[in-house]
Amino acid sequence: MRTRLLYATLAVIASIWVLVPIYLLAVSAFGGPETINAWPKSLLPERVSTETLAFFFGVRGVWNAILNSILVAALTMVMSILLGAPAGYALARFVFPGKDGYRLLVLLTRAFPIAILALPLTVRFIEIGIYDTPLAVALVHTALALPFAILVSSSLFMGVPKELEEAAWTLGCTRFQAFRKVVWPLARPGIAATMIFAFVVSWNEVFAASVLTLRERTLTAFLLTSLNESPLHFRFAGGLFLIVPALIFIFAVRRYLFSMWGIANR
Amino acid sequence: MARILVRDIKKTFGKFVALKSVSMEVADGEFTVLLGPSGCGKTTLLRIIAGLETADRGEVWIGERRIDRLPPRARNIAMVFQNYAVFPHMTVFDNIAFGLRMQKRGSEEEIRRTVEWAAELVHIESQLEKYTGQLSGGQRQRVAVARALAVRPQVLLMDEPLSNLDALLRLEMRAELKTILRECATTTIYVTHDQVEAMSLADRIAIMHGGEIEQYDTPLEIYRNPATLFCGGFIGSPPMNFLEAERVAPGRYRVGGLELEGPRDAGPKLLLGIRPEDLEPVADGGAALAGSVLVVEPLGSHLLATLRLDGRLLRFAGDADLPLHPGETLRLRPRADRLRWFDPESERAVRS
Amino acid sequence: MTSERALPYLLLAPSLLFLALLFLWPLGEAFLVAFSDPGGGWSLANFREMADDLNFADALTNTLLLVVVVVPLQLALALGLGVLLGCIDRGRDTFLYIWTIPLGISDLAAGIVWLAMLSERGYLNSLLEALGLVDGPVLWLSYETPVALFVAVVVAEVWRATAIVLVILVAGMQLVPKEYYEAAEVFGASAFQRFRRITLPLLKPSIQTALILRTILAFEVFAVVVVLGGRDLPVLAGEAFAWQYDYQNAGVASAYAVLILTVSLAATWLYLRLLRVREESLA
Repeated sequence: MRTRLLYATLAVIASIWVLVPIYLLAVSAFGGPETINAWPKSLLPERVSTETLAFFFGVRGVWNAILNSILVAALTMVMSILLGAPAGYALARFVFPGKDGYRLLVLLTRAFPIAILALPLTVRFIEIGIYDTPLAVALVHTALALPFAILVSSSLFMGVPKELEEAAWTLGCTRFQAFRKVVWPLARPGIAATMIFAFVVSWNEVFAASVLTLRERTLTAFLLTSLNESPLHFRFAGGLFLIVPALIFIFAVRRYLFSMWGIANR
Repeated sequence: MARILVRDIKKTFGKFVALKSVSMEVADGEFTVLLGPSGCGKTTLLRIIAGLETADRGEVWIGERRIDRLPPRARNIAMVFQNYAVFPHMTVFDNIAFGLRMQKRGSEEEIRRTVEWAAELVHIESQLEKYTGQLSGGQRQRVAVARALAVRPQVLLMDEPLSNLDALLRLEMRAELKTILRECATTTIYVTHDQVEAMSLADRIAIMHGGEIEQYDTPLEIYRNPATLFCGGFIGSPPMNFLEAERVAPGRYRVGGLELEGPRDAGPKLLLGIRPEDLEPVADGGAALAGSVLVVEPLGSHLLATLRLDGRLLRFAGDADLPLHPGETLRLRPRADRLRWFDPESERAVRS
Repeated sequence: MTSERALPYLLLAPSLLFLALLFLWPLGEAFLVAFSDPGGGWSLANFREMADDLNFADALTNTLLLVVVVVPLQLALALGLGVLLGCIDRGRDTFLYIWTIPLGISDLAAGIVWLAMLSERGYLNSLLEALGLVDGPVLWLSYETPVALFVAVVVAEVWRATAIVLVILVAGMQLVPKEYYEAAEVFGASAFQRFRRITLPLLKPSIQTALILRTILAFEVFAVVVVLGGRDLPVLAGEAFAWQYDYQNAGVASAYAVLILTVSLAATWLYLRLLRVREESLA
């Protein structure tokens, strides 16, 4: 009984460690400029005002950055699943020469730092005229998210028994029909989670977004490059705004966390 | 409904030879069981007929149509899988209707009638609106059978359909399957490793071993006259006994303490195959196989005893009331009309 | 049947093309840029310039120190939380969700979160004063307090990125059959012995994966550091960014990128050597 209480206490402490900093950031962001400078601090919000947030959204470029972030993340999501799902299906269902080599390449891509991709691409993107566009950032983010999309969708498709597909073939389906009628409906929730995951990867990425943009900033790039000029409460509001969608997304994909990180890392 | 002809099928997976050169013919409306231990190639052969696997060479015919180059959907077959493979995201009705809809077999109304007919056949008509996730294993297997029968295939293929069910349910389903399939009279190939299942269902059994068909015959004929040592050992529980036999004169062989009449034109050493129930206890005096009793298993309907005879084990099935105890000596004689002879080199039967 | 054989390649082709264009090609180009001089010939000029820079030694030391401190801390913490999770009987899903929340938080946002805690008029100073440990606000995040700044980055990184280690380890723990623990208990193994003799050895592949992934990411540490300390605590990725963005010198920036890649690969190789997983022990 006593050990169980100990375990529960430890678990609660760990949860506090995770949650309290986020909570305090929210207090700082909603408290208005006075809260930032208040001394000593109170743990409860002394006043709730939208002043800081209003100020944040009022800064020139913020809305544009948010829209760019959403656009980049959406593009990343679509591209990584369009490229990744077919490859995942091939890995899940076929035995073919070169399969191991391909797998290795995909795993390898995850071992390389983003800096080494983003820097040379800056030059190329300037040359072909897509530098400083959401598409350019989305392309690099897709390179980041694609390995995940491939490995996770492959494990999702492996989770759909092959016999279901074979049964569909014997009952009159072409390969494509069997995929559409049987495999796709069963893998769809997992695919959705994978897409959300790609969205978050892109939404959170800082380095490439900062290097590849000048005026068409994403939110992370905007916040990073304006750190020196911006007041504290602006940064807090921006940080909070970055966190909130991520929280929702992680909640939405929590059932698939293990297939994403656990299995995909094998 | 049509006959199936398989000619010279060969299949390898990498270095593993799954099927050496298999040929067989299943008559129209016949129920054939492919029986063998795991790895013998029975499932591979079934999947080649279904079109789920491509043979390295050879032909498959259904009726007058050569089908081995066609995709599964064009073969006019239906298949029941070991793990049922019913679609979890569809209702029972949609599962059974799936093949009909994909093949555009008539209007929704006609499809509904066919689905109802098939569902009634397997007694699942009250579950049509349920999702298959809500069903038990036995019910799912019924759905799988109904789904296969609904498309009225020329050939029905079944891959160990009962092996995922528990023992009691398996017995029940086995009896029911037999009734249903007789009613439909569809040419059927059924794969199993369970010899009792094979014996009770099949018109003919093909015993497969090491990628080859060793014997293809009616259950009783295989039981009475196994073509190879393997067939004799695989069919029957307990399996056939094999005893070393030495020629003493043309047509005369000595087995243990017995001299028996054997084949005239055979080698000096043979194996005598004799079923446990074809051994009879003899009263003291006459020549007999004398062994010491090791284990006695009273099974109620009869009795099983394991004897040691010249360093070999011998199984005997006898009357349940026989007073037998471990350590005693039991004297047995085989029934003269049940002696089966095998060549130890080729492992094949020698006809006398 | 030929189309059947070509199908997997057709399915792989788009992703392969994409990875070639956006991965292999820039990779080669980064090397090319890093190892060339303005004249176009092969040279180590960029690396020399990098090494001569005032911040280089600090950046390299700081990054290596961060990896050496942060990664073991995260592994220990994640192992502890993973075992703890197995001991809790109620609310497991809730705890797991809470503990994995940082997984969705970017390093930039994590830096800002801890900025709110550690800034001059932040919550830490407020707490310390309430406890009577300090008199008024103390400046933690400045170049004058490099140790405090380093600790701040460690705390923020541990807070943010332990979740990923946790998820990998818990996924691995779920694959260990319960019977092993029950068998060990029957044979009299204590809780600690069960952890040492069963959990750890069977978890080795997961630990290896987690370590490799975390170490590679730790070598790239960037936004957290920038938010908390600007360039007062130089790190490799931060220098690469500064050379590219502030000085517009792609050559030196690429040299930094190549350096990050080299240390990442070296670390990966080291883990693979040290934590060799025998295939047959994974049955």
